[in-house]
Amino acid sequence: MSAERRTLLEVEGLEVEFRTPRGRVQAVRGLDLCVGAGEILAIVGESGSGKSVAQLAIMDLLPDSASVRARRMHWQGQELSSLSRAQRRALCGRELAMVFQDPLSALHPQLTIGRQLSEVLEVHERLTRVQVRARCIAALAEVGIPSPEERLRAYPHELSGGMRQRVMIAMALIASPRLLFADEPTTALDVTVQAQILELFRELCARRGLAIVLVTHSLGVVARVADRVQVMYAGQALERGSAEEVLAAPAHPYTRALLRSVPDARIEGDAHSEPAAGAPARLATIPGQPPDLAQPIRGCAFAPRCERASELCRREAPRFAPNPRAACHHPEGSA
Amino acid sequence: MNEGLSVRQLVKSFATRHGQRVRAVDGVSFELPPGGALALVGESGCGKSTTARCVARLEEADSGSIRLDGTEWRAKHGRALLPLRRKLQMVFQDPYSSLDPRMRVLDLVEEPLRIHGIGTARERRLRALEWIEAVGLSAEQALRLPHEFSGGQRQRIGIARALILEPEYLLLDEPVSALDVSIAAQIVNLLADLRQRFHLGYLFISHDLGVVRTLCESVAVMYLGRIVESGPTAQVFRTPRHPYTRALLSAIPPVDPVRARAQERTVLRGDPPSPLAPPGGCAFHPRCALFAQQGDAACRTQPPPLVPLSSERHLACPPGMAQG
Repeated sequence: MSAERRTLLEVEGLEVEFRTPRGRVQAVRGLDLCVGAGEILAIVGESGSGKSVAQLAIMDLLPDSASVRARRMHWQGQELSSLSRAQRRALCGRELAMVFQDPLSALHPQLTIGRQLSEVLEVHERLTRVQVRARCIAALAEVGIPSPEERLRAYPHELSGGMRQRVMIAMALIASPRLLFADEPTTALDVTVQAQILELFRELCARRGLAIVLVTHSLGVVARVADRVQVMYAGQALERGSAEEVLAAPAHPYTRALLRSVPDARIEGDAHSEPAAGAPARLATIPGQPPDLAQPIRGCAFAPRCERASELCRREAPRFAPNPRAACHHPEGSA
Repeated sequence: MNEGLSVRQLVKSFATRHGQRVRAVDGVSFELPPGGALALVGESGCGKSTTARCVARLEEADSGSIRLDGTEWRAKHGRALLPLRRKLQMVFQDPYSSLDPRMRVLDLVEEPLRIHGIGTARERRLRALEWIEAVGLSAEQALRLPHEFSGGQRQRIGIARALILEPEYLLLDEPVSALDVSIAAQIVNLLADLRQRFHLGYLFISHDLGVVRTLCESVAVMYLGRIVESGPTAQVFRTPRHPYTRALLSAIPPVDPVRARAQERTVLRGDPPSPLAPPGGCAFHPRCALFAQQGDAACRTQPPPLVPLSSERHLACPPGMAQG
């Protein structure tokens, strides 16, 4: 179904390099990314996989120590790198928006919610005070905040974590962007509150045709809301496909290993073994550590930890061809 | 005679700046036999960490009893607590902030022995090396500083430090929550192995019910300072009886898109209430599906006691008791 959706963002061959005292660190190493209206694309990966950096690079929010290159970075057909910095900032603020993991550090502690919301509108639109107030109230109501008029006067510390995250989402959406980058938006929240926020994301996609790029390390979150998923490791995508395909039948050994290392709380039927003092239950693990991105990587970045790795993997970096699902020389199901 | 750890009617309150008292732990009781593993689960602010800190005597509870091997520890102070510390050690969530950045791993792991005046310098060193290897680090890594290690390796150092006194119990406060999935799995396996090898008892604080199910045979679910349901993990997770336990379990998305979306979900309305102004009666009633359906007046007026449901399970929900 994603093929029929109008493509909003199309990125090809994104590379991000940081200059550090230890030398050059290649945080993103050739990433392709594509999102359509009304769609949730999840980017999954562990710390250091480059999933957050890729987002920041597209939003042009990286510090000067980063150099960003891409073969193509199209927003609705327009090449972003051809815009001036001011044009790009204006576009990104209006049409692309962002929500971060920790709402407490992203909100100004000394300004009321109403003040912070209206600031966004003042930057992007010319409205009267009455119009601004009405838009702020509508924005808070849309993300499910009860009695929004009163909340306009509240300070961030007076709200719970879940409410603060809703305020952040309201703030991101108030200028009616087409795409929302959400970086671990539920990681700091309790599970019952996480469920509410994920529900809200699905509603927003359906109601507004909003596209969401959701960066997460939680495969459960992917399973619940994502249409498509891209699995990242060491700055590259290793697997991509619909959430159903990738989670039910992972093609890349890394995705498979990741899925196996998540313990499931649910118990269905009676056949499950119960943890007992006698025989410890064991989780599948991935041996070793991710590679050092300050060192050049030869062949497949996952090869040193991969149970299927061969001589070819250590010599030659795999591509998404012939298998469009996994950048792997020996995907699951092959010999 | 080893009778294990017994905590009875533990109460801990804190004073706020405005002179109010907040009851973070409100009458918590549990037993942990030698070699057993009990998980305290619940959302932030439910009092699970405060309970563990009181039991480890990093905080002093207002009232109640903490008995270990026949001795009462709740009201002891200073050096009188040293014997308790040898039996019971704590492992923290954040391996970044719980290790002194200027100390070498070997010195960090050895330090508890020095504090307790155990062994000669040479003996201490050898024992530290043994434990460093027991948690999966190498002797050559022992001479490095904490910043040279990844999160998972630092957690291994924290565990070695806790185990060098050869305690009977470990209190583990979210030990894998800050780690990546694949690394968390390594630490969970290490904890399972160590428990079996040294017959350790675990009091495991976590919000990750998957990890809890893997490591602990018993579980107690906390909400706003009280245990609302407890029993064998497999039973509680398979047939949760408290409406809050049900909501908590159904809020975790399974890693299977078909199930994750088809799954009947009790999305809880509202946020966890503030411990500053706890709702009267059962603290959960404003968010409770059962209360919304049945509207039992007692839920609003009386905090329900935790009563036996079977020989192994306990439940603090009279309407839930009545349900099948």
